[in-house]
Amino acid sequence: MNIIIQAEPVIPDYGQAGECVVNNGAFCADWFVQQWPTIFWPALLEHIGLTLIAIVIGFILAFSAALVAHRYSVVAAPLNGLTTVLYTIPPLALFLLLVPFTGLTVLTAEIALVAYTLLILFSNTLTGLNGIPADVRRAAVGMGLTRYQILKRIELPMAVPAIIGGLRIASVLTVSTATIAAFIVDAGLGSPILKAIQSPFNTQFVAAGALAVLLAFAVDGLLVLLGKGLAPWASRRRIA
Amino acid sequence: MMTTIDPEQSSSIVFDAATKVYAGQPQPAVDNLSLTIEAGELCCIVGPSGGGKTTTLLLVNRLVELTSGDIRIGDRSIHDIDPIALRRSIGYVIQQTGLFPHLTIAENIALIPQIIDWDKSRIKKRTNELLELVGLTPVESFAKRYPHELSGGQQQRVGIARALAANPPVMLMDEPFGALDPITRANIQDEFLALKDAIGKTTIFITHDIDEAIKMGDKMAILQEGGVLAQYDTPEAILAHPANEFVERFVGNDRGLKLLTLRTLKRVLNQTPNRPAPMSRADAQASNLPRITETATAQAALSLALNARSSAIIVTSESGKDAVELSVQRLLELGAANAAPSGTIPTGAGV
Amino acid sequence: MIDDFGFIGFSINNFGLLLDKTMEHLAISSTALLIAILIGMPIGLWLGHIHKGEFIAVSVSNLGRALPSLALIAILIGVVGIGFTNVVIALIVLAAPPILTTTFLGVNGVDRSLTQAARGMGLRGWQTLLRVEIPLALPSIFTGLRTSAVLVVSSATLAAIAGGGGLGDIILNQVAYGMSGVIAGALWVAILALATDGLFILLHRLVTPASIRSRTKRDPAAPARDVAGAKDVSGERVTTVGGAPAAK
Repeated sequence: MNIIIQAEPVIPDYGQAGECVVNNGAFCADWFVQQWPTIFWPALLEHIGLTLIAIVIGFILAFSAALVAHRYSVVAAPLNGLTTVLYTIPPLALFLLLVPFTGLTVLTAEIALVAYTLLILFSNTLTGLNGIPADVRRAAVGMGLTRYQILKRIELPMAVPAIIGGLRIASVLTVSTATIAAFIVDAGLGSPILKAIQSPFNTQFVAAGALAVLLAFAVDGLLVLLGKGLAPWASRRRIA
Repeated sequence: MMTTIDPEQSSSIVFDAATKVYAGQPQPAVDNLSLTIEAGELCCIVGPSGGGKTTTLLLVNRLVELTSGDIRIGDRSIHDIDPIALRRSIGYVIQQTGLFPHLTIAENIALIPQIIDWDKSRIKKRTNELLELVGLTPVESFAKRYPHELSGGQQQRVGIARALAANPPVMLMDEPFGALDPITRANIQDEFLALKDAIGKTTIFITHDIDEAIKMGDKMAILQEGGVLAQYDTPEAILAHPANEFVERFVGNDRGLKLLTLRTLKRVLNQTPNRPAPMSRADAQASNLPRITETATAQAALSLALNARSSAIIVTSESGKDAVELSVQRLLELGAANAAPSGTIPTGAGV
Repeated sequence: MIDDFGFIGFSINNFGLLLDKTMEHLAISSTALLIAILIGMPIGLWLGHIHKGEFIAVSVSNLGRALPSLALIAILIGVVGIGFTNVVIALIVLAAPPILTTTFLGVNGVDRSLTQAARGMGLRGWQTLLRVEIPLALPSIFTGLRTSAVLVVSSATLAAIAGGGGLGDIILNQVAYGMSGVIAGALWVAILALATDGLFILLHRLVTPASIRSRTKRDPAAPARDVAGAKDVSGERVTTVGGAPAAK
């Protein structure tokens, strides 16, 4: 089983190879539009799928870990260390190290992608939860709120900006990293890029790359909106 | 800003040999403190930093636990009540306000009532009532705002409203106005004095500012270093008869002058057996002496005389009809008339 | 399943090869990192010192994070061709933004009262920068260096696509080296990345004056990539530098 996808011959001749394509211009719009349904749209969808699954699972894991670390601060450092190691290992290496165990599958890719998000999500969430100003905490305790009530009504809502911040970074990263999944499994926007690299056909990977960047920005923008909706109080400029 | 609220419940607070020793510290933070704050009274606890004032406060709502002794609210010892329930029945105001930035003003105030399951309409009514009481009107506009949109003084008013929300019998205030600029502080002090009369809650008010304590307190408790009670009495009594050298130094050399701030001209004139005779209308009109109404304090009168370099002033009655001439000498005699001490001077307080 | 521990055999038999490739890898990485520092840091220092250009300094990182290194290398193949240069350029483009941003945030975030005091005492601008701002911004700066270094080592793995050499040559060439070789290569590069991370943590500790070190020691889970001064709960600051991609 080969890991590198064999490259297809270039100048895909789908009929009328326009002048732009023949000259391998930087970006041939008509070719792009033509290939949208066959190459780019499916790849984009796959990419969104890969990213979404990774972020959702990563968030569930990291958020739970952060809640535990918030309650029992002893576990914070070890968890931080573990997630840091997972984050530091180069994605490609991580993918490959998993292959003997889970094969050349989407599962492998997802495990690695999830592992990547953990540090950022865990770290930012924990900072958010722990970052309640001292006087607010004192007032909350003094008013007679239970630990659970403080978590639910004060700490979690106030941590939303930090959590969203972490989600933003992690999402953008995942969109980017998911391109490498193409080394293992023929899915996502990395696939057209890889295929077109061996005998470079510019439009293919420029388009795929640009789509990845746009997707990243789109996800980022959506999360910003989500953040504003969940925490309207944080977006206003502090006056006092 | 005066609104009448139904007479709120309030309870007395009794410290019974309350002592707190922190682990590893040789000296107690609060040492054998015994005093009784009657229902509806505002007691200012003053003293130097490290004197145990804040600790004393924190003992009441069990944010700090007693080492020995007891504290009773009403008839119940604080140890007989679950700490969470205890805190929900005590209004707590701190210097930095501790307002929750992610909740609107209304949500901040409504938090405890919500948690103790008041129904919505009752909460809304109470919130609006309190916003009016602390002078944050128009109520609808303030209710929706967030804390950071308000000024420091406004934020602290919200803090007070929030503390009053569930109608607690007792209020604890830890240097509540300390973070405000002098002008805002003076205003909010005046407003709170008016408020306190309207709601009549038993309050412990911590401050390190002796002038604030004199102004605000029905009674003052002066704590020396080591959390020892030096004197507990009305401000007048303490100023007139400091119990020991510490108290004397703490209230300051100008305690004589300070005492004058507590006495209005009306009161001293009424209290004296030989009240000066009213001036005739003609004399009063002809005179060039500076005038002041009888509702002003003796200190203001003295200050007026100083500014005008006059050895006498004219005191006009509230209605404006009568006037009395008062020499500075007489003013001093009247102002310094002794007030008999009515509170406790604990034995062994270094007298 | 494959021979799970074949990679050990491979490593022993081909130690020399692996070592060579590691050296290549490090050569590419250090070159790129060095140039990235030379480009990113002065700009970050300058912008931070004059307290301008925050939007750009911060956006540049967001952009860099969104850019897949794979696409970048692919594009550069068309422009620069394959080989060492291509890869180094791609790595510089990836590594410079975090350095720029963290340096900027670090210097920009130094307490204004301190810099004002310095200027009031008669220090010139660059003296303030040298003696006050940079020492205080060191935690930030080193965080950025650490992030960038790991990023570079990671991304250099992809260098093999563009003929750049390094451990990627082994990893991406299962045909020649077999699965054991691939696993061995992956392990080596993983260790290399972790070692780089560790190295920079150490450097950070050595370089930071002790007095500041205790100041910035917050809860142990404070995001390693978070920036000193970016503590407020509003997500804005936390968003911008939360860790650059290790390789995309």
